Amino acid sequence: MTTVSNPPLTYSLTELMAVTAAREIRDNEVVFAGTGLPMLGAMLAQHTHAPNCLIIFEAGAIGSRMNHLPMSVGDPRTVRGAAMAAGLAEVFTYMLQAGKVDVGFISGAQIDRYGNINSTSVGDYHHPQVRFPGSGGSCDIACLAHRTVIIAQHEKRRLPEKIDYITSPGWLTGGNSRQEAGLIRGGPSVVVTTKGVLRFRPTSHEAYLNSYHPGLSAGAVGEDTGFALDTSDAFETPVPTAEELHILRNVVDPERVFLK
Amino acid sequence: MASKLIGLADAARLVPDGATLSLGGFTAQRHPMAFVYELIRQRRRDLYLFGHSPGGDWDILLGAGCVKRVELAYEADEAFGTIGPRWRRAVQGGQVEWEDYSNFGMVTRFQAGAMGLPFLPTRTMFGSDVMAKAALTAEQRAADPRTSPQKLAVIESPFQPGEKLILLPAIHTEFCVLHVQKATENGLTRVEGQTFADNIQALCAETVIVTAEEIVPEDELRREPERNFLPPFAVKHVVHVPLGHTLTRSTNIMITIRAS
Repeated sequence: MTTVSNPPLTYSLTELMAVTAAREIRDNEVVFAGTGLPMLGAMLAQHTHAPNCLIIFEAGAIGSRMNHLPMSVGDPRTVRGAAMAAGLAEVFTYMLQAGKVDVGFISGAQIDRYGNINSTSVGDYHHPQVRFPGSGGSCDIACLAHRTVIIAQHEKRRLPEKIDYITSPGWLTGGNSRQEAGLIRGGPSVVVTTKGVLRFRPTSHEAYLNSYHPGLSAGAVGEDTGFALDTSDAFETPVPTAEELHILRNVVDPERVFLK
Repeated sequence: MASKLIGLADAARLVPDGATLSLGGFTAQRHPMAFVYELIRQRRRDLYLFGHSPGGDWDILLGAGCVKRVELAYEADEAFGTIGPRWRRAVQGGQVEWEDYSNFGMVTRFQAGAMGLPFLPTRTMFGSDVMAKAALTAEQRAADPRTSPQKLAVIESPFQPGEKLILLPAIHTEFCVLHVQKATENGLTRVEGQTFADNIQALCAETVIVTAEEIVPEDELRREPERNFLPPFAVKHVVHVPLGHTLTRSTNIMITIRAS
């Protein structure tokens, strides 16, 4: 492994988020990844601590080797050198619904305290102020993966008291509500934001601040959140290692497609 | 063997105003763009589109005023454009009737249609507003018999008391248009690289039109039948359109730009 001696480390927010998200993936896991930072995180994990993680993309790639960062889940780069080039029906039906996906990796426009995600529209659903692309595979990943890792922009209006539309169900209204709604597994395990890391309490399934990014404070992150966020256990987010940054910049995204 | 070859303009003329139509490809990949441009050139109106994750193909049809109603999961070019701008404007301006499903939901609906079943059960969408809310009103549904009278239905498994499943209605379209790498004059079809859900969409359409990068002798495709995608009887018309996917992407099609 290449070592880089560059203390003190400097890194961008996107790099910190990609590294923090990548660390959520364990070796040998089956990962179902969405477009953007989820892709960066999954590829970084594969090139660092989780070389045997198997990456699936909803457009049909199974076991992507990721020598070049794909620009989207349908990019032909997801297929080059992959174990299989299947289709949407195969990965959704036989992989995701059948329970073979350990971790789903998604992002969204609005997120609430239970990790429910809106990527459909803002305002009245029938007459929206702002329309987004819609679910894509996000709802399916949130419903059917064994756990989900979520990437989000941390602003008050993006983490509101109530989201306008539940595109991808998280813990719904907390407690057992997810199970009662008919979902047989899964639920969000972590939300990596631009300001910190949120996790969920075991029984209530309510989000709490697990860590705040360097340069911020727990209180400040709490104030930038639209719902009451318990910040009492928060610590500073661990910074990327020199090796992670080196791989991220030189192997994962040398062309700076997503890295800023 | 009878040739199914026709010209692009003639092929597009087969699709009347108000037709139900699905197009091959996924977000920014391998859409039958030349066919789409021809529909716009011919000023087609009131199209009723079904898709999982369309991109620039639908977006430009929406912008050109060709579309009345859509059923979909996602409309964007992914990393190239995180929202279809004309899709956004059409929804926000009340210029299109739409219904939201998830990607797996739409693929399941195409599968039901292709299998000759009225519906298929799934475990996805529970707890979400994709399940709870319908964009199309009962009146809008009743006004067009091609729209399912209900968005979905929830049942209890007859074999497992207490286990809930969502039934999603089958899709049958009048037309499906695909852009593929290779086809024979009589409609034997090969797709290279990612297949998305193209074959499933084709098998639930009354009339399948294939635009092909290359028209090849049948013996060539019969040498490796395991790589073929649709049998000749499933394809009604074949159109020779090199670079018919431009400007979306496709496996094994190179665009060479020469300075003149």
